[in-house]
Amino acid sequence: MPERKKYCHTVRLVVVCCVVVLCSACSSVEPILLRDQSVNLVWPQPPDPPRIKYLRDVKGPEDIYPEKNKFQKITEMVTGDNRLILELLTPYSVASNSKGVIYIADTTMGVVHRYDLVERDVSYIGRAGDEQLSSPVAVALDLEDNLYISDSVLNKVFKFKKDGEFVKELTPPAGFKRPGGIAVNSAGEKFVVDALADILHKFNANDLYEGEFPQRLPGEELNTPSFVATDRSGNVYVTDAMNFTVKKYSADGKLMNRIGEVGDVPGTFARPKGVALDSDGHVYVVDANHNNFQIFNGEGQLLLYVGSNGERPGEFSLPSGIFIDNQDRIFVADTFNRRIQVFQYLRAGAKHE
Amino acid sequence: MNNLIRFAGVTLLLWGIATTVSAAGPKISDLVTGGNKHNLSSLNKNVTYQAQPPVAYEDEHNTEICIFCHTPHRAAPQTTLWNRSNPSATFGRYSSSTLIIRRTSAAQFGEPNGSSRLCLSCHDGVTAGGVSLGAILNHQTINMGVNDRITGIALFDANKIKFGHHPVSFVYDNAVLNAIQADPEKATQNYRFPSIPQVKLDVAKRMQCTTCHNPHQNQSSEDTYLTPPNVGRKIAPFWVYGGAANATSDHDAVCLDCHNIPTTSFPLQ
Repeated sequence: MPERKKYCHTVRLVVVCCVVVLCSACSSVEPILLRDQSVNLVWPQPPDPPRIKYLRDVKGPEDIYPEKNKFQKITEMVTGDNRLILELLTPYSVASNSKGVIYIADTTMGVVHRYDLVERDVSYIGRAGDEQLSSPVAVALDLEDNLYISDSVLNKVFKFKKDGEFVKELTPPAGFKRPGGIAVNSAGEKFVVDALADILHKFNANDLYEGEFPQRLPGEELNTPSFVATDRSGNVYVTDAMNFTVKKYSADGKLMNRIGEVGDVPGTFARPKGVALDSDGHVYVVDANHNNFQIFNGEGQLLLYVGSNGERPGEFSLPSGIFIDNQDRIFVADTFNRRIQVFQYLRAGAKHE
Repeated sequence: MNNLIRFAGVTLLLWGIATTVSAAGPKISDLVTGGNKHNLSSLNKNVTYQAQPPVAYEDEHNTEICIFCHTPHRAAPQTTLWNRSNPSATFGRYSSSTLIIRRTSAAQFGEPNGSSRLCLSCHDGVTAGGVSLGAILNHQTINMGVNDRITGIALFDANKIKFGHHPVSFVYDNAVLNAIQADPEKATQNYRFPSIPQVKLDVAKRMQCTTCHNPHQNQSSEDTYLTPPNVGRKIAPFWVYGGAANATSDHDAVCLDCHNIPTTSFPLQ
C-alpha cells in the first residue's frame, strides 16, 4: 500500500509527456489471453443456456506486460526496470479499438491508460497538447480508431490520433458545462453528453458541430445525463441518471422508449451508469448501486442481470462504464475494485468453446 | 421598569443575533427559501441545478426530495426472460439508510461500504462533483488552501496532509484505537473516540463520510463565500457541526474531536 500511495501522490508530476511509451522493444509476444481458465462462470445458471460468460479481469500493467525473459532480467540488473507502472486507481470508462487496444479513463489518476492486448504494451495519455488531463471520465473511438477523451474538470473534449498524438478539441458553440460519456455511431457522428446542460452535443464525422441532441420536449428533459451508446440503426441510448432510466432515441432525436425506472428490484435502477449494446442489439446498463449490469431487449424487457456486490470474479464495487467490442466482448469498469472485468456475450446458436 | 424593558429588549436582541448567527444551513426539506444543494427536486429554490418541474405523470418523482439518494423499494420486479427461475431478487443493498449492515469482521470486503457508497455513487466526477470523491479513498491530495476561508489547523493542505484525504469506511473500535495509540509515530496525537454528539460513527462503528458531513443540512452557519472566485460556495460543505458559528472553528472542532493535528506532515506514515 505505501507504494501505491506514492504513485498516487506523484503521478501528476510524473506524467509530464503527452504519451509515455515504454517497453516498446517487446517483440513477437503472444497476445494476451482474454480468458482466465481457472474461473468458469456463466449467466444464467445451468440448466438455462448460458448467455454471458466471465472471461477475466485486468487489474493493471502487470496483467499486460509479458513475462520477462532471462536476458531482460539480466539487463535490468544493470539498467533497472525502466517501465513506468501506473496502477488503475479509479477506472471509470473503457473503450477498445479494432486492433485489440483498450483505453481506460481514470478520473483520480488523471490519465487514460492504454493497454495493447496484442503487443502486450502499456502507455499513458496524461496531456492534451499543453494541457494536463485533470478528470478524464470518458473514452471513445471513431471508425479510424481516433480517440476522444472528455474531461469533467477541464470541461473539454479532446481528440487524439491512434498513435496518441493530440489533434484538437471538440467544442460546442457555448462550450461544455460538464462533459461526460461519448459515443460514435456507424456514420462517424459523435454524441457527447453534457451532464450539467442536461443535453448531448452532436458533432459530424468531420468534427463539425451539428447542434443539440435530442429535441428538447417539455416533460421529457434529461436530468443530469451521464453515458451514451448507439446501435447499428443509429438509435441513441442515453443514461438519464437523475430520472433513473435509459432513454432510447431515434437518430433524429425522437424519444422512442424508456428502459428501466427507479427501484431496487430486477429491471429497475438506483444509479444507472454506463450503457452499451451487443451485436444482437441488447442493451446493457451498469448500475453502481446494484453492483451489476442488466441486459434488456430494445423494447426494454429485462433479459438477465449479472453481478452482485463484492470483489470476486463477476462481482462489482461501484462499477461505472461499459463497452462491448465487435466480438461481443464486454468490458466493465469495476471502479472501486480498481479493475476492468471482461465478459463474453454468447450468441444463441453460435458455437462456443 | 424601563431598565427591565431595556434589559429584556437587549436580551431578545442578543438572542436573535445568536440564533441568526448559529442557524444552520437550509434544511433539505426547506422549499420556501430553498438553497440546499442536495435537494435536487424541482421544488427547490436558489440552487443552480434542480429537476425540471413535472409535466407528465411519469415525471412526478421530480418533486420528490429523497428519491435522488434513497432508492424506493419497488416490489414488482420484471421477470428476467433469460433466467426465469430467479425473478424475485432485490438489489439495492444500500438503498435505504435504515438498513443495518454489520460487517465489522476481518472478512468484510474493501471500502467504500455503508452509507459512503451512497455519496460516492453520485460523486463520481460526472453526476456530481467536478473532482470525483474517489480521491478520498485513493489518498489523492485536494488542496483546499487557495482562497479558502477555513484557516484552522485542520485545513486540508497539500503539504500538511501528506497523503491526501482522510480515509473512510474503516472500523474505529477499541482494537483499532489501541493499535493506533500503540504506534510510536501516532502516540503523540492523542487519538480517541469522538465526543461531540454530532460526530458519529455508523452502527457498525465505521467512520464514514457522514462522520464529518451531514448531507441533509449544513450545520455550520458561516456557510457562503462572499469573495471571488468562490462566491456562493459553501464553507465547510454540509458540515456536521456548527457549534462555534465559525467555519474554521467548526471544521477544526470535528477533526480535533478524534485526534490532534501536528503542524508538520500528517499523517506521518
